[in-house]
Amino acid sequence: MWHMYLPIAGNSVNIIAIFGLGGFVGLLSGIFGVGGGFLMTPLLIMFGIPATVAAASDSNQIVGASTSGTLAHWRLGNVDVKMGVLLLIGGIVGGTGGVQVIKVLRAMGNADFLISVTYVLMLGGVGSYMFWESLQGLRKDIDIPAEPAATPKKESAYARMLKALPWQSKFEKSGSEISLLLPLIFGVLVGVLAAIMGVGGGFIMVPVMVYLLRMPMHVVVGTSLFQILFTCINVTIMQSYSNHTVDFVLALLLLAGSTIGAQFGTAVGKKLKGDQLKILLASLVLLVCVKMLAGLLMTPDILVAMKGGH
Amino acid sequence: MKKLIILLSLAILTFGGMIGTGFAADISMTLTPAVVEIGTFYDGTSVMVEGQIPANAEAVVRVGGEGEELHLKKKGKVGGILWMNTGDVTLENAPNVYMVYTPKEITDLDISPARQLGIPALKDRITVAPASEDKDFIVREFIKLKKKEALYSVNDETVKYGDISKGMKSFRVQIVVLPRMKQGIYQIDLGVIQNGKLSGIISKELKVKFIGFPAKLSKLAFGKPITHGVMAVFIAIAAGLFMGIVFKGKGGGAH
Repeated sequence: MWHMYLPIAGNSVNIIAIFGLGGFVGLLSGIFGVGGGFLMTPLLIMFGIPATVAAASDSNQIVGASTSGTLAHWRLGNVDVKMGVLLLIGGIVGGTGGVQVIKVLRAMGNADFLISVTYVLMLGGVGSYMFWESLQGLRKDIDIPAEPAATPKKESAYARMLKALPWQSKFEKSGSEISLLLPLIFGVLVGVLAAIMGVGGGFIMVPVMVYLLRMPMHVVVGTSLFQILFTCINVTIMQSYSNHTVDFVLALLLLAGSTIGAQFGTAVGKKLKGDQLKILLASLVLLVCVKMLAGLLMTPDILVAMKGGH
Repeated sequence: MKKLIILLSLAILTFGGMIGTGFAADISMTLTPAVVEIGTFYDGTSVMVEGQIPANAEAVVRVGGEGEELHLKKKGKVGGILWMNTGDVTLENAPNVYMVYTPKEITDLDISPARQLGIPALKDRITVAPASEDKDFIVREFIKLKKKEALYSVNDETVKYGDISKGMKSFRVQIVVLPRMKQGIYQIDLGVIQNGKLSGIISKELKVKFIGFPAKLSKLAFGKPITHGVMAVFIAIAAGLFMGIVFKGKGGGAH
């Protein structure tokens, strides 16, 4: 009763459990605007789905989730298509390069070391910075309850560098004027990291857009969804073709749960302030970082593992 | 060719004893059902194994899956601090399933026959490449991994005996067909331990096959992978749009 057999995953799953799992991850995703790749895949593995099928089916699920999400944000005017396309182009170039880097490193036998260390450093760095920055923001809110007329801040060196770059262009939705090169370069960097780390890159892309491209949070979520949609369409087709690991029945079950979870998540997110949201996301990122670090430092129960997966 | 040699060697090893004792006709085994069908709502099942063995013997039932070539990552300490993947190893002829059902604690059975039928026998069967690897260590850790997945197991005190008649006794055991046991042929062996020896083995095949929706989906995914991938994308987009309509444009999900 309530079980369904997934022929690609080669296992049966409890429909309610998978629906609930989708709902839980959707809830977090609705609150923060990220949270699929690095949460859903490990949780699916815990439910007995092979790592390769979990990763590929999650990408398929993200296609559905980001379709409805992108549409909703599009209607609200929260998708910066120009920025999204540039990041996407950069991401494809960087991702292709990253795959080649991994190939070379695998041949040299250093790939896994690099992947683990990159994960810990990225998660630790991004998480700590976001946590610290949001904490500062929250403290300011407490110290100065009502700030009078904003005084113009002194421009930082980074802001001056942004202005000095060639091919300045206006990004209306993001409310900024920056060089076309910038999203392309960051897209390449995220693409390389995403290929090395084996994830969609959403949780790296969001901090990049917030902190480095200085985009408003609501446009970040919409634009990130837009970019993720196309990345995951590509991944789904490639995984189905190369590895036969896409289980769309599993993806649909997850999608149904995650869409409903996301409704509650969005409602919770609206009640939280921007800094509160960031501090919660930072805590989540740091938690994953600590878990990964523990995995690197503690003696595993079993000293072999099946190849495949992220 | 290598596989054929291994299979022939196994056949000689296992059936050799049986021919020697000359009581092959006396022991029997039936499977009910002999074919397991995997449909849409399949969640594993069980198969009843019944038969006859000599009254003074013990029955051990073994479920063995097809031998596979498996690629594993070996973990080791790097720099004395970090546990990392330190190399790749390949196992050949590793059965995807290996379950043993015994009438009493396997340690209470005569050790030599139990070794031939139990999990220790796997060490002789599985080959590890590259040959420079510590085979005992790799196979031991691999067995731990499979035991964690419940695909390798020793199920003590599960074989039950019935009435004795004309020097023979009946036995029965319910074997578990886990949902993660793939479509394919599984070999069910009945090993008979008598006077401290493995006096005979007979085997039957258990067929596990897809029917209905799982059969169609599997055929599409493996036969036409691009069509399957594009279809998966369109279905996800359609489902996403549908969810967007249901929730009045407030779609979203886990991304």
